[in-house]
Amino acid sequence: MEYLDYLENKSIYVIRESYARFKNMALLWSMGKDSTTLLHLCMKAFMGKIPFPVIHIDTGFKFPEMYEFRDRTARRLGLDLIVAENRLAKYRGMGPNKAGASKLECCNALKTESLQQIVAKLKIQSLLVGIRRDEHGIRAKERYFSARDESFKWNYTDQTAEPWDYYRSLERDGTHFRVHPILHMTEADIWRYISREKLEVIDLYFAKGGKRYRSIGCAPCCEPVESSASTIYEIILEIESSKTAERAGRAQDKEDAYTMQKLRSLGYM
Amino acid sequence: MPTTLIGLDGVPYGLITSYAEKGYLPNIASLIARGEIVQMESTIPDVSSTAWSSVITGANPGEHGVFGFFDIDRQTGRLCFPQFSDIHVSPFWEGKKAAAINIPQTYPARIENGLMVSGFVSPTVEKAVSPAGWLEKVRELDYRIDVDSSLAQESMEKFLDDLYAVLDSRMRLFRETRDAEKWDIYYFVFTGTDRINHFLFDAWDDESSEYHKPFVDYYRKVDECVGEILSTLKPEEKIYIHSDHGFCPLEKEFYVNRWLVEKGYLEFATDSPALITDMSPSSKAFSLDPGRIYINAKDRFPNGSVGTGDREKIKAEITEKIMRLESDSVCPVARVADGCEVFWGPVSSRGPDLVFLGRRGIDIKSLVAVDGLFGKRIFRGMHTQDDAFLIAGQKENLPSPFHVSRIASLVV
Ligand SMILES: [Zn+2]
Repeated sequence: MEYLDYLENKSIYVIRESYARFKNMALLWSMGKDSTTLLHLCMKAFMGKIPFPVIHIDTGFKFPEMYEFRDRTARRLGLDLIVAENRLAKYRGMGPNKAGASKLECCNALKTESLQQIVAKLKIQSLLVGIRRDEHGIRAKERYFSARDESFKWNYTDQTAEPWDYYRSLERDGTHFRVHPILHMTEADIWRYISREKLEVIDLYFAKGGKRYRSIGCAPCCEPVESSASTIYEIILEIESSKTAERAGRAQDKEDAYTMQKLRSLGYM
Repeated sequence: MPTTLIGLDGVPYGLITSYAEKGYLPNIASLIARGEIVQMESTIPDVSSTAWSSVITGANPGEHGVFGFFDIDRQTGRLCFPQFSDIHVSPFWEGKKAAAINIPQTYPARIENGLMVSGFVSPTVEKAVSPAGWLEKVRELDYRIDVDSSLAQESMEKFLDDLYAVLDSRMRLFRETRDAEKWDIYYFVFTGTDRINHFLFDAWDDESSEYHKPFVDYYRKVDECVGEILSTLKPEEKIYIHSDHGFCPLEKEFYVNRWLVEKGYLEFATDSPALITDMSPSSKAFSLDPGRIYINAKDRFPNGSVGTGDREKIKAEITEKIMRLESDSVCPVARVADGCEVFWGPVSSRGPDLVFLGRRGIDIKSLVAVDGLFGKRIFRGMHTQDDAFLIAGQKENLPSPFHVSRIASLVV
């Protein structure tokens, strides 16, 4: 089986299994490349019609491209799109530039609280979230997971009850379980899969004027990275060479990263 | 006698003679008619960095020290990329007034008397031009060192367009440099031929392929450029045209590191290895492109695991096991070269213990982020150790097959 099929099967298994086990499932969609990949996997898992709501937590500070992409995609795929926002916090003037409020407080009020509200309102039991195991930073503090390393060793065809548990939150998080169907994918896997499935992603990911966004969220809190990668293939090469450079402990060595990319584009390494 | 050399990277003897006969390469054909053409063998391994290092030094890899485009550093265990300065033998043009343009494995550029513009792989233009006084000129010409091969993944049309753009820029540099000085040696290399071969070589003699015409057209264009160079030859000048290795259509790739994993010689420290440096220290052997097999010896690598006494034993085991591997009832490996036999010279101990040479059509790759033993990606051509070519524009009665490491002796 091809590698990407293997990753896809794993994800679809988790999505279907979650749907079978929980009442009131929903998908959290941020319009970023990861949750858009997850959205596509859900379409595949249910033969083109997603039988549960798709939630966008709207802080009101997203890039304009994201709103356009959201509405167009929702129409095209016939999604049951629910836009959740924390009206009260917005009313109080919460935002990334609010005096005296940290970024974390802003995220808390506009994202976490909105999510809690919508989960309670829809009585959601399980929530599909597009996080990946190679992510870090803000995700690390969320600790919805344990046994991460063991989790991608299981075989989806030879499934027992225990490994399944690694795929959902072990903490119940108050009211619902979080399910992470693309946990086993890396950033480069996601791009390869997007390329193979010809998925549309927001243009902000591709380099313009020497910069591109590696992840997108609220516009005021996103910093583009220096990059000349204007195609998916170049993005994959960039990720792989920087990952490699990191692993080799010489991220500073741009020349080596360049050489590696050139060699890889000719099939070496 | 002043000498001009033209390099056509990756062009096989079989192609050049066939295309010359068909009338696709009129300039090259008339040079052959005036002089002679011989088949030529490349280095083991048959990769441009090693082959060109032998071309310009006349030395065996065990003497010049370049065994591939990358290595594992003996001190740190990390990947490293040998540079021009790592070549242990001086190039044959030393002591003469020379222009050395676009020769692979010559980055960063350094020349005492003349002009060097480095070839593949050159991460910066600044360090690819020597003496630095030429940098501004090279920049003004909008000179491109190499095609953007990653374009081929996107669209073959874009890739082909870029090949032509690079070729045009290369000819601008030719016109600027050809008579800039009175050169003893003028060496000018075309590398687009190797690039187009990697992606489209299956179309070279397949007239039913949609890429046959674009492929032939590119070679016609290269011949035109060669013709332009030939038209500037002075009567007293000697001329050679040659490649550095052969090429043949690629049927499938053989992922030799996966095979080493299957046989228990190689282990990775992670579930999703990206590069060979992700291997565990307990590994006994690993491979680097193309087909180089290294025993992970304690006295060689910082993370080595094999004691001196076991090295020969493991070499023998691996050789025996690989020859027993069958795919479609043939062994993917045509020949296992023993490093002790094919490398000689003061740095031969840095070379691989074994080199696997693939059967025609089976490209041996060290890629680790793969599942199976065999696969096929976008590449449609592969290097061969035999079937390179050498044309002398004057009658010399060259022995056949010639060897890339003897080219230097023709000039000096
Ligand atoms: Zn090549």
